[in-house]
Amino acid sequence: MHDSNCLSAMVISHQKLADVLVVVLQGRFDAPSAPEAERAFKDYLQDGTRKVLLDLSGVEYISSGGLRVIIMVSKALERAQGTLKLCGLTPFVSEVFEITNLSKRYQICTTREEGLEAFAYQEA
Amino acid sequence: MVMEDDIRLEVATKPRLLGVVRAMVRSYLQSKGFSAETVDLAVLAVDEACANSIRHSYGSRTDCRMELRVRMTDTHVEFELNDDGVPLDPDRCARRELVPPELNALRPGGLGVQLMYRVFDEITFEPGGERGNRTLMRLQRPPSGQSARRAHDA
Repeated sequence: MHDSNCLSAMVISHQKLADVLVVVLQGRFDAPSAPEAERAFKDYLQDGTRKVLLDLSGVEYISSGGLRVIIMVSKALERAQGTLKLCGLTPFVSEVFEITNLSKRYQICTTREEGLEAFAYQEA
Repeated sequence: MVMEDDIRLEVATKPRLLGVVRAMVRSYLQSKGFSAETVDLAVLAVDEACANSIRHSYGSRTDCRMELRVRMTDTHVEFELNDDGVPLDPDRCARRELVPPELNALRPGGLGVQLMYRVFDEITFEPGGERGNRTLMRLQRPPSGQSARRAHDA
């Protein structure tokens, strides 16, 4: 993992595939970028979306600030009987999920396709 | 034996400047032969310590200063973080198990401090009397000629 561009902002994009909202994060997901992500998620969930797949394949660095946003999103979804799944964790992000035990809390898929399949399977 | 600091870095409490701290820590540990995985996690843990100081000791003020000292002993690399903010609550700094699904993670300082415990071999939080905090974080040196060491299990 590199930390070469310490000032790079996080890029957030989203795409609705059937009833699954795929949210793609790229860059650094830490304390400085967490408020922007939190605002984005609040917007995304306003329309009653209950299935969210968070694609972290472009996240090069995550700290507790980013993890806290993920936990808040999942709790908001749970209150609405929704589900959060994750995919594309890089080795570093995966290690952080392991040492914080968050890997036991979420369904983590290897790829975005696998994540979408998991939602379809959940439906069946 | 008191070891001399290799590095003393004084930095303003601006979150964006933590990138400078991370880059310094990364470069230092790489030069000392730590494995890539250990370097990544140690950078994260020092980042958490600094973010904790900004957020909780200084209440997210950006016009304060904190100091990071780095040194090697015969057995460990030591990171010493000093600030002049509000002394941290010792209860907030205690090690806890992170048990899903609750995780106790949304409490202020909860997750960051627990991450630090899982990366470093030893952590000492020393809140000052009326002002200030000293946080000492120690990581075992890699055996000479090797560069392998994993972070602690959760």
